[in-house]
Amino acid sequence: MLLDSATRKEEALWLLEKLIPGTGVNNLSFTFEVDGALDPAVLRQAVDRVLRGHQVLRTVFRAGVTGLRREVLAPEDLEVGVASLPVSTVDETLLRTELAMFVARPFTFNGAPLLRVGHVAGEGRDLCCLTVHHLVADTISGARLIADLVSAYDDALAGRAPQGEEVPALAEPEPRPESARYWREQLRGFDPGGLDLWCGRQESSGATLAGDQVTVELGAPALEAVHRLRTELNTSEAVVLLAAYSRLLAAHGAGPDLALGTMVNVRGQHRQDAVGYHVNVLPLRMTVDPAEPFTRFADRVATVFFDAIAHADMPVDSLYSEVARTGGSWRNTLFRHVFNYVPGLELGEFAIGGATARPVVVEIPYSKFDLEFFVMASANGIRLRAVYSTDVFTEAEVRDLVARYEALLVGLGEEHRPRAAWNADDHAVIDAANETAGAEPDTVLAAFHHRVCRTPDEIAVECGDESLTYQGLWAAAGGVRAVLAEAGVGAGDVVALVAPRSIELAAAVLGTWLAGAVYLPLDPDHPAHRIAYQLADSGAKAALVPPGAKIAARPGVTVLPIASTVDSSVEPPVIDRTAPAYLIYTSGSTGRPKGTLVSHHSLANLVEHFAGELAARPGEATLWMTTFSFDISALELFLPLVTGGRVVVAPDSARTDGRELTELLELHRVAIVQATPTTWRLVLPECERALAGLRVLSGGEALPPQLAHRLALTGCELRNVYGPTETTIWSTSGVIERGSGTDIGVGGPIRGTQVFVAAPDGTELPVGVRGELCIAGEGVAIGYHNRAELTVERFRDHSRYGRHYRTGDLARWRRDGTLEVLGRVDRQVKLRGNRVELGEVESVLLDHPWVEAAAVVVTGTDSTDAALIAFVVAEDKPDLVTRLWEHARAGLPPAAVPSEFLVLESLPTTGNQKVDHLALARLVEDRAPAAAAAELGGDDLVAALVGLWREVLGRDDLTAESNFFTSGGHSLLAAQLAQRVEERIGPRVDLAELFTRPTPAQLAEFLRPAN
Amino acid sequence: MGPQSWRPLCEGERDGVVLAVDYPFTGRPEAGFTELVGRLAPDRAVWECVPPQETGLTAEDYLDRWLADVRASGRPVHAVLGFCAGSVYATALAERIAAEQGGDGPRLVLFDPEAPNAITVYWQFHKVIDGLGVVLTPEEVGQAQAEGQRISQETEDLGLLGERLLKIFRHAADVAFDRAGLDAVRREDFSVTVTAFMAYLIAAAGIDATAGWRRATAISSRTATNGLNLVPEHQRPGMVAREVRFDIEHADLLRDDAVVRVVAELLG
Repeated sequence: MLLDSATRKEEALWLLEKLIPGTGVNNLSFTFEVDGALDPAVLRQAVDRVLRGHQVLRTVFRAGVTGLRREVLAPEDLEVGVASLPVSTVDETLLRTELAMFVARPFTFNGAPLLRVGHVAGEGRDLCCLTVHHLVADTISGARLIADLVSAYDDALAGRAPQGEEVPALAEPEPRPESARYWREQLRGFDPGGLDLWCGRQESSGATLAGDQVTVELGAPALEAVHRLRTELNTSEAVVLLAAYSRLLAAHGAGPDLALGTMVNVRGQHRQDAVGYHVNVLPLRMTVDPAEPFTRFADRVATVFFDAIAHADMPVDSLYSEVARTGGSWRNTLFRHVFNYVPGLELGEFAIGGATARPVVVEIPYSKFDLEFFVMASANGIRLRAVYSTDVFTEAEVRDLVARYEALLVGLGEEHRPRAAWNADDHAVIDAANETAGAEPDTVLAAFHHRVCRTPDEIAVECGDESLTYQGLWAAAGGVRAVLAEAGVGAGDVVALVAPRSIELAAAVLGTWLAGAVYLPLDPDHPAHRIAYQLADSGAKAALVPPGAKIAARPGVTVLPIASTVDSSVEPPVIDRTAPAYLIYTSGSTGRPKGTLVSHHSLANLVEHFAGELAARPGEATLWMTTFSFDISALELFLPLVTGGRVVVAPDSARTDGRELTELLELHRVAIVQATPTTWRLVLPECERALAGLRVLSGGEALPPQLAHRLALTGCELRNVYGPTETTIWSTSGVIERGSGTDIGVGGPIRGTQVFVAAPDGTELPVGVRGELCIAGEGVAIGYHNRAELTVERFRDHSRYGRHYRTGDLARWRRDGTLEVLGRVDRQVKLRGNRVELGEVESVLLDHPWVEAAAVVVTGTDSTDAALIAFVVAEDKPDLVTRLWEHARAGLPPAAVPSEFLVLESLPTTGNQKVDHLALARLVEDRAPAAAAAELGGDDLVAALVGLWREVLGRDDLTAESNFFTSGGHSLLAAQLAQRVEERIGPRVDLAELFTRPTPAQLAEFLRPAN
Repeated sequence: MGPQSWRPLCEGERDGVVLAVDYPFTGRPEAGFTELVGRLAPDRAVWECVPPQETGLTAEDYLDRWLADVRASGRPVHAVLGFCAGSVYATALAERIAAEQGGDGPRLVLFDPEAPNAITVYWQFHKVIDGLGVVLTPEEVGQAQAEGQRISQETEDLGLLGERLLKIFRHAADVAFDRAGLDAVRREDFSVTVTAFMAYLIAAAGIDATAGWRRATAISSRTATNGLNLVPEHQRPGMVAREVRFDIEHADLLRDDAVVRVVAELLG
């Protein structure tokens, strides 16, 4: 018979199955149930007649080395039959599973028919399942196929001869040249990066074809809204729904350059009932701007939509070459989200063999796209089937998206202004989580004084064999106050505390407050220059040190020993709650450490919260283990002092020695202990038993699931706490139960704290959507000390939440009102599929002792040819660039190693003294290529070495950063490589040298001086 | 002049030096101390040992050379790190330094510590032969490995085992070198590399580090064929003073951020 090549769109279907073998991803089912029995013999006859009637159903394909070839078989050469499915119709679940398996079984491309029919002879009802490959039919073909099967059955049952002529397959015309031109223009410069959403797992997009679906009927308010919009905008229902879908995706992070897929029926008007694969998938490209009025946006969408239909003769499969592929993904790179509007598809009840029948939907577990909105519109309403990739989304996420879509439609119907895409649950969850108000607590000093009055003789602090009562601590603090006052320290002055954790330090902290001053905790173990910097930057008036200790303080700082004198007569001063309680320095990822000022009010709120959450009782001990220059240490000190408990001072070594920690916990009957995950990891093996029954806090870093699991197993009451210094120690807290699995959240907002997750433009994001974590409420710090601009940049105002701090952390809300922190948001770029933090790259470069300043910019137009360029201000050393390259390579993942280093006298800055990245980008564009090559010492050598790497390893995906031994190389190949280096390039390379310099770039740097 | 038998991986602000013992000259995918140090940014100098490329040395010879350079530098040793079989040398070094420096001695941190035995030595041989598989036939590879395994089961003396395995290696390598078209320089270079590594492993077996390990911290990967994972679970707690386990592969142990943080604390 006729044998010809398959078209490109046909081949694309086949290729998909070739890449992910064993999937029936292209299978369609047309299934119906009958209130009665179907005669299997008659059904077989009917199927046979349908096959005779449609040439396209007798089309088979053969896959060969040259591609896919199509052949139309004669009726007598084709044997389809009807399979009897041995399943009961009583158990609906079992029935559905059996049908889904029947439908999902893949077809083969070896000349076998691309259609199969199954029959379930059930109890009181029968089912007929017609399964076809997309190559021979599409969804629109269903109605005609069922109708033909029904009439063929009725004819055969009545003994009537087959009716009607054979229908030839509909041949689609070749795409017109003007369509090719249109699409080429339409897709010029398209950036697939705009397809990433802030929800779901984007990085796994396209891992498999596993999928699922969620079907909903749009409610009356949404239907009304759609109706109103289409009338008001004078457009079609499809355009309204499509524009809203685009808005939904944009609200979840897509765009601004967005392309959606859509299916367009390309049957001519005269062949609307033709059976076959006659839809073309087309990309609808549009710019989405959430600020644009919906009326105008819908107008633009209509133009794009109708233009696409006008040029629908060119299927998407012919368009791939128009867009550069990225990341080597086989999946569609033009779009990942599909909108498919199919009106009038709903098949109602019909009769077969005199019995009533109705269609049944059989769901198959596949999805070709991340998300497809399949909209079935009828006079009765709109049914939305959301088919999604289970690699990317969970069912809950898709249900959320669908609910937000409906809410968005309703909102748009009420007012055309852009609306946040939130559903009712989103509001409920986030509002409830942020309902954290509490009564104004006493300041920590006042609360402590209450305890002194109530239980003067109880132990307040224990350190080794020594201890001090509440009254004793008050008197010691009074002694400190007297010394400070004598030295001229007064209200608002900064007093540095440069002492290890001890009873004396506790007295010094309280004494500083009694003097009306602000304490600045400094770690005596820190390098002298760092202490000197903080003393200078803070403008500290005095520094308290242990008797006999010395520090390098600038002139003007009075260095005082922590007094051993006491003064129990001191009365608590009236403290301005909004005044700073402490000033604390944190090292940013770039630049010098910055000081944060925290008020008495914020500190009191935090301590009050944990006093309640941890149910801290009088007499209970809390371990003071964290270095005092880390703000979280303050909680370990103040929590027991305001609750009548005991502060137990732990030496530094307890943070690494589990045995010592165990002894401390047991000896002092400690009830509450806090540490970072790093400490927990170190001490856990030896203090597991000692933790049982304790209240344990872990924070300061991400808590790895395995560690969380082991901690929880000790029988402690474990909490994961999160918060930046700028919002006072901790802002969220959550209990980690045993068996939490990999699901480690940071809990919900603490007392007086409101949290929101924001898009880059500041829009608040709903549940499950990633954005920057912003914290408002009582904990928000006064600001940075002497850094007005930085304070303005990081501390912002929000119309709903008021003053807040932008953490720079990426997070999302969970449905239970807790949060998940996912890393850093600032300056994340994507290079060849790898996410790279520019700040991290700069911070690594700055770690090098020669580097004074560093800034990294990305060049290139898209993520395939993009490159990282590092600008550095550094000491003038002969092999500076080489050393920096090595340094970067040792400290960064390969994708984050800058491809070029350029040395500048100074970095250009903007008006507010920040690095001017735009000016740097211009520098890259302007510099002469030759000059750059000279700067780098010539990259021909690297290129030559990359060539040899590729040759020896037989791979063409290797770069200057490819490690020979992690790319499949081993010593014999290395010997071959060394030999070729000598033969082709010249220098002798010993194997030992190659072993320690395994990338082309490293070896080139090593060889250069010899050249 | 810097030390001959050590190569500095970084310098540091603080006094004292951290010694790292490993054998990085084998062309392997496992991360080495260079990567750890790059991420750690330690405030002390870190030196990595350079094992001699000669054979016939005893464990004492290795230790003497390394110690002589440390002594000559006059710098106090703050900690000693060991990777894999290097842990045995690291332990012995730490003990000697403790005796000379007095006090508690340097801190000892071992990464997947292993005391070489016949199985370790055979396994390294096995991997070397695997590497020749690009030019040898599977049968040739299998034959050489089977013979090596037989010999390793029969031979108790590790020195003798080493010699016998190297003999099989040379035989297989000659064929492989011919097929790979290696010249005399490369043949020699390759053979020296393999021989020196085997010598390093075998010499390590001359040290009993059992007692020394009991005061060390072990950092363990999850790879079943490495480090303390080779030891039955019930015996593990007594082997080292403290074991910190990570759910990562052996090859990534020295390039993992969580490991880096723990090491920072341990060296702090």
